[in-house]
Amino acid sequence: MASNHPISFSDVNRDVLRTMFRLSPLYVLAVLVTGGLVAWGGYAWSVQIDYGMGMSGKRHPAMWFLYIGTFVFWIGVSHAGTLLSAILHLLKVKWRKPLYRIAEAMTSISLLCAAIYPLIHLGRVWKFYWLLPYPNQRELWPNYRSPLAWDTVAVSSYLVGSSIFLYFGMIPDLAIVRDNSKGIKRTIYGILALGWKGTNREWYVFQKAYTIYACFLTAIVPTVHGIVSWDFAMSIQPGWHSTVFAPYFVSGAIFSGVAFVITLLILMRKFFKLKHLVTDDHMDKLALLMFGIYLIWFYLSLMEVLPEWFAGDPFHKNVLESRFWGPASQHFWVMFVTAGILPLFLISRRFRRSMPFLFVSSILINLGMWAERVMIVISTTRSFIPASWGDIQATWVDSSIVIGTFAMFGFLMLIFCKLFPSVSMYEVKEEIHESE
Amino acid sequence: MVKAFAAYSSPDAALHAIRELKRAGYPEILCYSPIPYAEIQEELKPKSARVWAFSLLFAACGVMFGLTLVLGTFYLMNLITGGKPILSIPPGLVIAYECANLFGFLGTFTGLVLLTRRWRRKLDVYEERASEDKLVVLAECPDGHLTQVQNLLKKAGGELRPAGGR
Repeated sequence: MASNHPISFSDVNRDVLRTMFRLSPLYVLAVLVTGGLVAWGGYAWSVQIDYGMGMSGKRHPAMWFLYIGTFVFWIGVSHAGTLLSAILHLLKVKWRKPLYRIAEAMTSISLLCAAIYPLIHLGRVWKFYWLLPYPNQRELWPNYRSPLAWDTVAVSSYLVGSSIFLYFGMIPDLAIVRDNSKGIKRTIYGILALGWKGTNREWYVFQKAYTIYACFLTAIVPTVHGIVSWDFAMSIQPGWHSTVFAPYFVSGAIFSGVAFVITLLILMRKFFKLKHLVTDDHMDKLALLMFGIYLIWFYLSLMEVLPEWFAGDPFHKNVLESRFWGPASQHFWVMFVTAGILPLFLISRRFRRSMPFLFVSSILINLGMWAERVMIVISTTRSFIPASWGDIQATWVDSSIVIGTFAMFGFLMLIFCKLFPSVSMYEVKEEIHESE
Repeated sequence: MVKAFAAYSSPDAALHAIRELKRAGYPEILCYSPIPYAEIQEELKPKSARVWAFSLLFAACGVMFGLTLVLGTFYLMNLITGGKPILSIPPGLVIAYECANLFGFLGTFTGLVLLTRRWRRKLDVYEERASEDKLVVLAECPDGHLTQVQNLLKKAGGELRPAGGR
């Protein structure tokens, strides 16, 4: 395509396709390390299945701890993918184009990581089908009055929706891979591309369908994490029973998700040599978006704490005190420093364009957001009756399982990047065309 | 009918070719491109795609499915929990909303597949560079008009490609 733009359409194809299939020693090492950690997590899970839930430290008064905290964290991370792919698409934000594919992949993979936590927490995982609504001789049915049952429907709908959306948006790119492959690869990508030829008719229907799909995804996103928040807020537990929980959870979800996207994009730019496609300007805008979401989340965090403090309810105050200097204090202060204070630096353009700072801060922000989720769960150790108060400790089993799911995320992302284009080629070309 | 087929390096040239073909009375035109071009879409004006009808129909089915699932389950298991009535409406609305979205996703994707006949894997007339950087204009014409159409395509700056009839 004749143009004045420094990057041609052919360059985009060449540079993105170059990132697929070739296995560098570093890549193989990363796959082995993450795969090894997944295997270790699997072993820890097998120990828990063999010896019981006590191995993961689950006992009264905290029956939920790392598992549910990490489940909420993974669900939260998934929200940034939809923000970048669907919501910003509807708002016609053009700079999202090179960024959103990896964010969408992150959405589907993090939802997969989240989806295994209810199974891990079941204890007797082989009975998982009891959760499904089907006619049975026990005459037992899922209790749809419980937000946990809503959660199942919401998360599985979101997983199906985001996975189809990821594939859907990739169809034109899969055709590019098909056209640049030979042999069995050509056949496989030919099937995946569903015979895409890029005719004007196909593009027309594709664009219409993409926008409608984006509307559905935008509609489901706030409800998914809203419902996850109701797992807590529907109870009368002090520290959980709060009307602000749904927006507080959703804003925190998007905040940590955008931080996760930044981490992944910096790694991708570095190791796939894609700095000319995912530029410093893109990273600057993404960091600015994260800063804006951080302000909303920070405000809602204050709104979660201050009214309870001001109202002076002794049970709520106990929970707050447990966060400041009680059993949840470690998690609280980690969150306060990494997710509460550190993002303030993003107000400066210099920090937003510094990749080392962005990389480290995005990881620390996610550490803080994970600590925040766990901190919320620890509130159960300070309930209404002091006699039922207790402490909670992580064990090697639940810690290993949590580490295993983080490794599973990395492992699946590594596989995804080698099998599929991690940057949307046709949308980058659109951006080039529009900038001419 | 036969097909004439030419590749272009710029959207302006392809657009020019399309306009010339239409002016000469050849309305059966298809344009392959690496990205969607608004001007070409506007010129070729594809028949309106009723993807929304699939989305809406499936979403409505989702609402019905969600309500039936929840209320049916309540009906089958007459167990009061949390002091709530057996037939509680709010949970039904939550599930109906989620199912509307789930079915909406499936309906929209079904619409895309059906309306673009995506199940066809065979690429009958196709130029691979259309997925890279070329625009390809394909025109159908009666057997005796092939040379005239090819001349039109060439005159607009296209590189002619061999294309079969049907």
